[in-house]
Amino acid sequence: MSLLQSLKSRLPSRNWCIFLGTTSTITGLAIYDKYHLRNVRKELDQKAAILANEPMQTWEVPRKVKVYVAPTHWARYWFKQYIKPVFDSAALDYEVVEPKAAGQIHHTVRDLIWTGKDEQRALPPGHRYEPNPYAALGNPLERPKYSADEGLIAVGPNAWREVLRGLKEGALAERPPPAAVTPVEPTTNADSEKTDAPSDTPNDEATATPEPPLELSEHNLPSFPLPQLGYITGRNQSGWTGFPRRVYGWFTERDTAREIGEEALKVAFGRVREFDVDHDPSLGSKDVYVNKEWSEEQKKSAESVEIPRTVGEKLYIYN
Amino acid sequence: MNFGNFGQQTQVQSNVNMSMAEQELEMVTTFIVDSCYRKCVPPKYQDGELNKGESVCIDRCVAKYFEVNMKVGQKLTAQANQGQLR
Repeated sequence: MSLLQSLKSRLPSRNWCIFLGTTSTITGLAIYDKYHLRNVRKELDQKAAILANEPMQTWEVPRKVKVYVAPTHWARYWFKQYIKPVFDSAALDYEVVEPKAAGQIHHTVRDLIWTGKDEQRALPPGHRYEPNPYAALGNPLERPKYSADEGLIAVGPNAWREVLRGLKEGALAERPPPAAVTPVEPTTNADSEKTDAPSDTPNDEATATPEPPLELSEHNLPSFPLPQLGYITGRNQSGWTGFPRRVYGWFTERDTAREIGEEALKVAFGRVREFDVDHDPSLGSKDVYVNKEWSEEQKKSAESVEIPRTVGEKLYIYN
Repeated sequence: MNFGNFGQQTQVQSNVNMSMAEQELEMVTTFIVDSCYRKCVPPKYQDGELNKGESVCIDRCVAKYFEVNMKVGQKLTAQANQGQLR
């Protein structure tokens, strides 16, 4: 028998070869990736442990960061798999703010800055800042709600744009006075109760006027420092069209983990650089996601933001 | 504690309060310290001071312990009330 014939006689049948070949390739790729993923995670953990092994006194409180994610299950998974382990290893306290629908982060950030302005206005006139290392020991309800130490981290370009927009409007505009409440007419007739219920809702919609545009002016710039910003890449891979990308991503998780982990480490170490007004607002532009079913307002929230230089001078970004 | 004109009733109430306070103290000192220390502080350490990782871990452990304790207590009282009603 020739060499080829002797080989063929020892191998299993053609179909078995195909089957075993495909399964072992897929399994091999998966095992290879997961093995290297474990090493990547261990390496990131060791780098972050430099921060976690620093001594901390009992009156100190860990550094805290607010993380804004997109309102999808995928965004939660992305954070939990790639960003959370790094933050945990670095002993960084985080608060994940996940909106219920797109476009709400903008309002949340705006309200935060306005709260800061309100609190500053409420301070007594001769107030001088005195650093108090025991400030964290007081009643949490009496602590100021705005703190410039809490950085704002956006995961994904949509959240980033909303955070920037909220920051710009919060810094340059003042909180509008609450809309006047229209008095509800009391129903005296029992028969008219049924007819009143459907007529009540069109009445509310007519009185709910669209939000008046905010006046942006440099006079409203706050004198307190604005929170530091951070951007972490977040790719939208949800839905049917994202399925091939998800499969590929599962086989190359080690690269994603390293990429996102390095960005999360930058946030954890806290080193900042000045905000670049020309390039930073467009971070992650290629990953911007707009859903066809969103309302007009939500689609507008995904548009690019322009930060004026007066605001950009006060901003710092983790790098 | 107001030892007013109620006499024995207040005495019983203050005994109950004392036992509750003792339970709470035991919970804090024994249970929380044991479980959170075991989970958060590695057995081999060089420095006597707590580092940041351990601090964050202990903060979270105690917060979760209290929350779970409260929820379990509420569920038990709800069950006890239901049992009483029946």
